[in-house]
Amino acid sequence: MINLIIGALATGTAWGLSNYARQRNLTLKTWQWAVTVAGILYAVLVLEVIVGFLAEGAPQAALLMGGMMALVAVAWGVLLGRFVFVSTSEGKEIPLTNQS
Amino acid sequence: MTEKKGVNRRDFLKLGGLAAISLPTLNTIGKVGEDTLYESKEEYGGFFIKKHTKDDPPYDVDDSIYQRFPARNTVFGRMTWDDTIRDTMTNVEPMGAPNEPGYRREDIAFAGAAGTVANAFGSNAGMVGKHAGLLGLDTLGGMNMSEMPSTPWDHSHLSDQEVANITKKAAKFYGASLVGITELDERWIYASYAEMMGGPEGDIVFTEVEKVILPEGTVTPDEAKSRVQTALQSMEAEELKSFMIAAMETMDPDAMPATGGPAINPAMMQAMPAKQFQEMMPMMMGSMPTSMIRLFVEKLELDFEIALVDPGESARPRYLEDGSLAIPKTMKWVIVMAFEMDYDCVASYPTTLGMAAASNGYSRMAFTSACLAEFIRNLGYNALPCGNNTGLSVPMAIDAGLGELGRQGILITPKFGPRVRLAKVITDLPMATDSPISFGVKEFCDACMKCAEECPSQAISYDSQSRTPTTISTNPGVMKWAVNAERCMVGWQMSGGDCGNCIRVCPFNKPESWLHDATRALIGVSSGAIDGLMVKMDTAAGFGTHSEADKFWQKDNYIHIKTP
Repeated sequence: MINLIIGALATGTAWGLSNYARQRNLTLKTWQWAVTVAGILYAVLVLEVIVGFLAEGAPQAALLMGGMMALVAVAWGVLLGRFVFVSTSEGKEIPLTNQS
Repeated sequence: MTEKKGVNRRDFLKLGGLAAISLPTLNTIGKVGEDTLYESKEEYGGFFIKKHTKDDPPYDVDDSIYQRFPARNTVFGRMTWDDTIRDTMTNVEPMGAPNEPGYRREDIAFAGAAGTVANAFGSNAGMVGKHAGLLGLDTLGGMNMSEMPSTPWDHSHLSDQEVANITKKAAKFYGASLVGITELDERWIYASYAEMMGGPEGDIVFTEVEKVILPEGTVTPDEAKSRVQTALQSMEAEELKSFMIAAMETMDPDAMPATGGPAINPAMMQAMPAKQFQEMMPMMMGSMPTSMIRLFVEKLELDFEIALVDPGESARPRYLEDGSLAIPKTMKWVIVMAFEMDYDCVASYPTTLGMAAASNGYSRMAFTSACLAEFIRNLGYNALPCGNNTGLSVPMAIDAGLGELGRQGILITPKFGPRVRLAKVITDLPMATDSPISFGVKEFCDACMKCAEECPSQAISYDSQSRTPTTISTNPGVMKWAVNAERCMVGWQMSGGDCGNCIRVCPFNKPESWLHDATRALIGVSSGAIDGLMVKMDTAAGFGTHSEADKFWQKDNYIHIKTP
């Protein structure tokens, strides 16, 4: 059941991001989508690690490993949001470097 | 401005789906240097395995020093003759009090009962003495449902590997968690056996098989039995009944075969339906004594004599007149079995409750070894089922590809770590053998000291491997971490049972899950570079810590036991 919920969360996140990009007319490059999907998969991995260790009766491991991995997941999400999905105007791609 | 076109979302998701489906196909055997990349065998639990050859095993023995070890010098054997050991055992302060978790009556009763099969019937699976009970030398007389094993199984249509696979399947069916097969290395057989409580001692010797040529017209007892059965089965039901009754009337009732029910007598046979004789024939013939076979040969007027000596005797393991255990040199194969111990029970070490895991392991050892030996005997071959006795289980298990030697002096398996008990069956059934393996244990144990730190009696070495023994209970000549067996026994006395702290805390001791499989692959890839970090993380994550006995009893969702 818990895995179903995690899967649903991941799918919902993917759909939500896809929707957001469509509404804002964001045109993401292939590598940006790849990083986004990888980020979602990593978040799934973090949740599965936490759930797995808890199911095994190892709460300390869930806290330590899950916590460390979650920090990375949060940083990943912040970077994705800042450099991939935030747009200042419609139809504009957000470059990482200034365009002339 | 140039419009940049990337892959659209739909196409990308399609590609991603295809990639996800193809990932499992990467779970195939490949090579990274000399190592096998992610061997897909379930028994390897995610580790990268290096397979060794018999000439390049994952251990180092100096044969100029090494000699076969006398079982009387094991710390168990020394209890019968070594006053220093006996004195040490009597002056030890126990760790737990009777009302503490792990030392309560229910814990002790549970642990004691777990060893019932191991200790009943005189089997003593955990000792280094004579073969008896379930681990006896002779057939246990299980139901012989089909042909008698008068001739060896004809497996000429099978390869040696197929025979090995059948044997391993049988062993797992009977209860083994892991199975490996190796050629018998005589170095690992004890020089002698010894009972713990002052029972008989004797040498263990390897003997030649004598070829006995029978005179013309003489057959073995087994062959005679087969020919008599063939003749009787050719009779009609009524004819068979009349013949059997007539034969039984001339026989001594005490010599009649047992069939599991009341003793058979001519009056009872007269009342039996004729058809029942035909149905009972295979079962009766299986336990028919030679004296009755002689009578049937005479009554049936069959034209042969029965040999007085059993020409197959020298091919069987047996005790000689001087008490030596004779292992025929034709018994060249060893089937080594590992039995997983319960993870939660092991977590309660060093309390008496933890002993239940080991005792349960010993019981399963006795049961499974006995069944496997009977299976082999039913195939017409010879089998010697062993618990801890007769041979050193750890090097045999290493040769059979079940694992590596750990710092705590026991076998570490890829899947269960050190959380196993070992048994073996020595046989003359020819089979394909397995290769020894290594998967990073030595490098990891060099970095990790958890077992040494957690040993309550400080019996485990903190040093590098050496050939120097610590006590007379260590056999010199083997490059290893020498455990001080005397101090280890003190730890046992302190714990009130068999202390297994070194098993509990070992980082290789993990339950089965994809989480640990992934970690194992990482350890394998790193080739020892991150072992120190893995040990620290293992400790920080709380693995290997002692678990209260109450937690063991409460773990099952259907049982809630209140502590007093």
